Amino acid sequence: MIRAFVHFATWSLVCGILYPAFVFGTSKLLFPREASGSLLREGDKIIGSELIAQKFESPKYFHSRPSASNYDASAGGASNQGPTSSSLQKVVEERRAYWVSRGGNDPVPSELLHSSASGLDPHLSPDAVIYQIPLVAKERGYSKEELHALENLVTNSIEGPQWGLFGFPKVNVMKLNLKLDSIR
Amino acid sequence: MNGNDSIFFFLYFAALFLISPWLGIYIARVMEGEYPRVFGPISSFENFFYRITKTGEEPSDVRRYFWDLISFTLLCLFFVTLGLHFQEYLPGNPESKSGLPWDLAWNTAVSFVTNTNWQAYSGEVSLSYTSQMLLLGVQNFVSAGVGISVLVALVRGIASKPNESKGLGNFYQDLTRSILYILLPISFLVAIILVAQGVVMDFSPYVSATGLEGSSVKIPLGPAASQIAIKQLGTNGGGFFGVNSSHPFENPSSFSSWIQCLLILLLPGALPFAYGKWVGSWKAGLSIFLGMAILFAISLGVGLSSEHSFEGAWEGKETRFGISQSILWGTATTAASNGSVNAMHDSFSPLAGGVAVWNILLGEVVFGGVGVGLVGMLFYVILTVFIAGLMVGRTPEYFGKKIESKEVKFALFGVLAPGLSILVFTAIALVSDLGLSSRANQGPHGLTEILYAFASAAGNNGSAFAGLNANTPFYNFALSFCMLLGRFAVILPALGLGAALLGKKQTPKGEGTFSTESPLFVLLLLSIIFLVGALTFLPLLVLGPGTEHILLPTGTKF
Repeated sequence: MIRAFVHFATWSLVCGILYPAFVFGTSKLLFPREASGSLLREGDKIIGSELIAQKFESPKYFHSRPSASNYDASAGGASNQGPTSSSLQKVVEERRAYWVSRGGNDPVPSELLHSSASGLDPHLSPDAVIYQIPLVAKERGYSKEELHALENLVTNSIEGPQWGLFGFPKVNVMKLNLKLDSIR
Repeated sequence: MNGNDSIFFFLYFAALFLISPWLGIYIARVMEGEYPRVFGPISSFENFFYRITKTGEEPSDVRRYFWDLISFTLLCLFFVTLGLHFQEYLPGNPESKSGLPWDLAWNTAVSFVTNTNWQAYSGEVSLSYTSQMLLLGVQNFVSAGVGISVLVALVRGIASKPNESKGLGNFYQDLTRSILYILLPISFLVAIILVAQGVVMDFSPYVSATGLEGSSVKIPLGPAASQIAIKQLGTNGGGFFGVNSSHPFENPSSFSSWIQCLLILLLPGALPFAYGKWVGSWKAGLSIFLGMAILFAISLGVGLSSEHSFEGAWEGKETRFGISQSILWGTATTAASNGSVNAMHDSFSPLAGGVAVWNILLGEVVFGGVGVGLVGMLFYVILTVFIAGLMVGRTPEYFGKKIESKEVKFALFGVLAPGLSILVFTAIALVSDLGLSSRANQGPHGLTEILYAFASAAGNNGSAFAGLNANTPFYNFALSFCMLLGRFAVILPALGLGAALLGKKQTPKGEGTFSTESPLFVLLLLSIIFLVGALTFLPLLVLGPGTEHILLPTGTKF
């Protein structure tokens, strides 16, 4: 039992303190911004993290993926509703009705109807963003040139697959919304 | 599947098939004490480690190995339970998290000590940084190390020559080597890569911010990267955050998802090759690896085709991973007893969810957990050899060693005990309010939720149909029992089998010896795995995922 205890204590020190400390030190040295949450600032005010979706309720902004945990960054969560769930069906119909009531086409892109796994998904596919362009432009009362500028902004916001190899084209909704006010 | 997915899948399998054999041979070497020169400094640390922990180099008999393992495990259970219950008195708790109640602390301790990493709590809500790092993080290492140690002990029994007296080896020596030479270096490397991708590694309190629309936002931080690397490498799967690897801070990009998904299968895929090297037959390792790969490919194919013909597929999935990559992860994590998720299995289409639970129900032998997965597969190999021997009417033998009633009993116990506990506990949960009231979904999907929970615990997997509210005293205790049983029903027979085969006379290969390296053998092995899995669980699989699949096109909702 004494030997077991000595082993337990030594491993706690090596794997539980020294190893995380080494990782911490190295990452603070090499990637300080990423290690502390990829925070976004406006002046010295922190306005969020580029990796964590925020709640956009105003129709003047592009909306993120729906969140089953109400975009609570300190307690993310999913709906965990299965394919034959009637409550999921109801929620999806409500979301569809919302987009249609704002003048969007039906079918609505599936990503805007279904909540993400983390409840904090910061991205949308280009299709789901392009779908929202006329709606946001209408809400902001954009002229034709401004609508054109918005379309350009969205096109420029599309991130390709990582290093051309991994994943899909996608748009970071938070970063896109940050740039919106530059148009008007 | 589109072009982007194809590239992702190709890179994934190419990397897995290239690295596995190489890593397997490396593991086989270091576990027997042959080190590459660059590890000179670590090997002097190893010797220093033996000196301070008073670990002798002498091999021990099976009793000694067994008691070392058991006493170490008990001690871990004791300290982790206590630590979690009293976490408010420990330093490193900037968010002032209060202690977990006894039942949850016990469940969590069992979960991490048995390499299951079932999570009835939510990390960023309930745990302090110290609890994550010092209690759970350490168990991520040692539970994987114990798995490798048990495998090595069994293999020593299988590969031993009668005139050698190497014994089963020394538990503490095996544990030390597996952590120092395999788990720590790879974890460190991957942790740094993950930070570069955006995984957080910070001890500051949570960050308060005012969002773009003026709402207040609280952003969680913590020492996540160091823990996530070992969580994937050691087939642990316990997430730093509640939603596991779907959280943008735990898995921020497509590449981080790729490398984490690769780590899930890396050690379980490499160990068959290590096995081949240990027993001196490269083909024996390759045939086991191919058997696993075939089972994996079948599950992946069914999951992909089901999910892509499913209208609500985006529910519970992240945009940056998409549908195919979520299914690849789901297959890998359930096949390998890892249990981390990057999409919510509860919202998968019926057959994709069914395949996930199927992978677990086969006994976690499709790659399986680090070490114990291959041990489970070797039980099946022994059974196959035995049954093949009966069919041709010869005394069955494996590597020239006779397989007799004692060996078969150990193997059968290891194969059947977890399955039995799944069936009994699922039955209990299905007829009592204690079990039924926790469901998030009704109808056949609710049945699958309960079945999945017990399968996941007994298979030491740890993933979940997470709608089920498992943080109740009933589930906390019932599942912790299943986890302990699932772990020790593999470990104890493995040591018994190793001891039984140790020193057995080896007869040279003859004309009628049944080859354990041929395609015919792989086919037999797969049939027996299918037979055991199917016969034990077919009724439940038909009533759960099967029924839901049939009801889906009719539009029936619950």
